[in-house]
Order: sequence, then C-alpha cells, then structure tokens
Amino acid sequence: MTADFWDETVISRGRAARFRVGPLVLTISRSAQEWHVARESTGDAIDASASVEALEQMPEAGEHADVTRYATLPGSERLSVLPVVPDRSVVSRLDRPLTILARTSVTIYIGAPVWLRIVEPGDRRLAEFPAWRPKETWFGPNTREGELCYSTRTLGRLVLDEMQILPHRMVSAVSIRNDRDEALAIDRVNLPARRLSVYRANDGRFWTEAVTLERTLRDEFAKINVGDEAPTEAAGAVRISGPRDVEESGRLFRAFGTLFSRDTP
Amino acid sequence: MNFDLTNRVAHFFTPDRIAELASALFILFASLVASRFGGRWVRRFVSAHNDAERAVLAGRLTTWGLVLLGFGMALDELGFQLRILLGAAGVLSVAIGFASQTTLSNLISGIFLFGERPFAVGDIIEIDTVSGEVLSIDMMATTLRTMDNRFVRIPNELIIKTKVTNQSRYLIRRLELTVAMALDADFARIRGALLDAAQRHPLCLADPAPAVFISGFGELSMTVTLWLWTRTKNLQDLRAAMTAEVQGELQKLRWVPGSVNNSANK
Repeated sequence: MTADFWDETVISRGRAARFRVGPLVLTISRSAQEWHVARESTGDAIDASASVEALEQMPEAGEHADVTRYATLPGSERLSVLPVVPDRSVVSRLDRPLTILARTSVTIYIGAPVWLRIVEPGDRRLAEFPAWRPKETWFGPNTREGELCYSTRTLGRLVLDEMQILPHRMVSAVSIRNDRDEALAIDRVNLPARRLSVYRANDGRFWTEAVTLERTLRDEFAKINVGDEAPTEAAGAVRISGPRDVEESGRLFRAFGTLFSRDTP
Repeated sequence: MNFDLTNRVAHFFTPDRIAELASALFILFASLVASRFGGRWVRRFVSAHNDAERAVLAGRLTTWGLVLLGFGMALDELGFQLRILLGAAGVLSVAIGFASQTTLSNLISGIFLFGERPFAVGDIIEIDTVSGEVLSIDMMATTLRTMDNRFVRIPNELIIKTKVTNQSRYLIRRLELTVAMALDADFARIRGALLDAAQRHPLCLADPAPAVFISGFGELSMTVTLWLWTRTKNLQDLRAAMTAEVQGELQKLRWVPGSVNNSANK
C-alpha cells in the first residue's frame, strides 16, 4: 500500500481496500469482473483521519453503507481515489460580516470539502463522492436569477495557522480588493470551485489556486482572477487534480453581488 | 377499341409532352429533396439560437413551403394555370375557414404559444384543473402527462384563454407547511425545533433561509407557518420528509399538532 490515499492502489481479485478520508469511508472490493464500492460516513465533519488499509478478504458491507457495482475489464486491478474540486461553486458564509476599508485588500482563507473521484488508469471514472456533503444554497440577486451552489460556514480567517488541517478540506486563499472609495461589507463569498485545481502542500493541506475578487470602480461589476498556481503559503505544492471548467481569468461579472454580497436574495 | 385507346395514348404522349412531364417530375423530385435538406438545415440553425419547439416548427414550415413551391412549379411546367388554381384555392380556403373556426383559432393560438413561450416541453404546468408534464406543444393542441400517468390533450385556444401556472419555470421553489397549535404553546421552542429540523435536512436550501412564524390566530388555536426553499425537482420529496419531521419534532416537544398542512403554491 502507498502512503497517500490518492496514489494508485492495487486491489487483486477477492481482496479489498478501505479508504478513510475525513468522515468518508470507502471500501472498494475487486471481484471477477467488477468493483464493489461501499460508501459510509462517520458523520463527523472534523474527522481528521486519512488512511488506506489493505483487506485480505472482501468485507460485508455495513448496515448503512451505500453499495454500487461497476463492471470493468477482467485484468483491471489498479485504481486511484483522487481529491477533486466540488462540482458547483461554493458559497462561504462568514460567521461575522467583514468590512474591507476603501482602497484596501485582504486575504481570507476559505475551506471547502473535496470530492473523491475513483478512477482506473486511462481516466476511466467509476464514481465521485463528496468527502463531506455540504448543504445546497441559492446564490443570486433574486429567486429567479442565480445558481445552485454548495454552502459552507467559515470564520473568514485572516491567519492561516488558525485553520485546522483536515484531509477532506481544500483551502483557498481569496484576496478581496476594494478599489472604490467606500468601504465594502461582505458576509459571504462565492468561490468558483469548478475552475480550480487541487494541490497538496508540505503543510499537509490541500490547496487551490489563489483567487482574487476585485470590486472595480464601476459599481455594478466585479472581476475574478484565478492564479496559475497554488499561493505562496502552500510551500512545495504539487498539483493532484485539475479544474472541471477552463475559463479565461479576469472575466467581468455582470452583478457585483454575483461574487460577494451582504444582501439576502 | 384497344387500337383506339393505344392511338389516343400515343397522341397524348408526344415528345414535347413527355419532356414537360419529365421536367415536372424532376422539379417535384428536386423540391422534395430540397425540402428535406432545407427543413433539416433550418431546424438545426434555429435550434442553435432557440428552443427545440421553435426549431421543429421552423423546420416543418420550411419543409412544407418548399414542397408547395415545388408542386406549384411542377403544375406550371405541365401547363396548368396557377392563377386560376390559386383563386379557386382562395375561395376554398375562405369556405373551409368559415367551416372550421375552432381549428383556425387553435392554430393561431398555437402560433402565439410558440411566440410567447409560457412553458416548454418537460415543464410541469397547471391549466384549469389539470396539471402535468408537457409532452408536446403542437400547432393545434398541447399534450400533458398527468402525475397519475394519464394523457391529456388540451386545445391551444383553451390555453390562451385560461390561467396557466408553470410549476417548474424556476430552479428553486418555496414549500409552505402550516401547523395548528394551541394558544398556550411555547412558540419560541417550537420555532427553534422546526428551524433545526430544516437546517438538518439535506434537501432544504441554506439560502433563502427557512422561516417560522405565527401566521394567524383562531378562537382556540394559532397557525404556525414554516417556509422552506428547495430545488424544484426535490419539492415533493421535501414535502413528504418535512411533514413527518415536523410531526416528530412537535411530538418531542409534547405539542401534538392539530393538523399539518402543506402547500407549495402560496
């Protein structure tokens, strides 16, 4: 077995492996021509366990396990469990609103759960599961216009060391720049997760590229920039998985409230 | 007798007449081919910028337009006086029009529906007392599949005249549950318990946030209302789950509700 859970794992016929990534427990068994994937959650959002355990026999699925079968090629015995970004944007609601003074910028650290993608060599995907399923939320100026996102709560930390290291969480360094002459009060930030990659840094955290949200001089517009690599805080970062969507950076959003807002839709 | 018929056929099919007939057949064939490809091209072109129903309508109109054009040109080639034929067709169409006002009304209503687009195929709509999933929007009528799997055909004229509610136009919907409670019930505790239940349920959206409030008083009871937002497609599941959840929460608080009602249309 390998040290990191996302490395390629060999599971021979009649054997199994158990992956623990935070609250998610995946038990993957190999039988004649199929994979059995049993998924369970411990329900503990701050569970910090991360391990891969080889099992000599195919275990019985737990009472609450969600089991799925995947037909595959007879000789296929290798797979990886890759951490990837969520499949929708993540709206992080700050526990307490933050006011950014005129013509200043601030970097806040926002955490979001990673999704786990089970994949055979050659990018043959079996399944994807959130390591911790966040609640869904609506983000937009009203209930007609907007998008479905995932919702997380964050303390909006300005100091990285205050953030607990969790194996099922990725951290984004979000710089918010207020170029206007008025202060900007925010209580939630919309992280464009589909456009981000997942990196692993020496500190043991998963990181995404640095994101810059810019309140431009024109009132109704906001600009978003996704960096080319992990932020400088993520020393020794190695990219593990890529983005779901590739969009050009520096795109102007129609509504200022599309990225960060204090108004409840 | 046989000789006479053969002779007449031989006189009819002169080389000039055969050439005209071949030319007319060629025009007809070419128009059929052109209508098939033209219709397909127009449908593809329109579907790139519009919805599927408009694309199908535009494709059909193009196909039939080209077929009619080819048919007219073929008749012209054979020496028919098109002006006279069109005149006769005009008189005929007025007569048919008077005889089939309902049909025309449905047809025109269908055109308005295509233009206005109050709903699309796949939407869940409510017309009059019928509600169901839209299967097709045709020129004469719209067809629905009701929730209990019945097929309903509604003339387009009726749709134009009646109130139509599109239940699935927007991605999210609000679910409303009301509970009748005794006047001495501890509203603060009930409110907290119901909000917690909403917060826990995975189908309930975090934002717009759930709300619990007293919406009215009766002689012996008060009405407590719970508003929850969810994805439109999850509405029925959340309705079933939260009705049971509310019942459970209130029993935990030893407040047996008088009744639990739910509505998503208010």
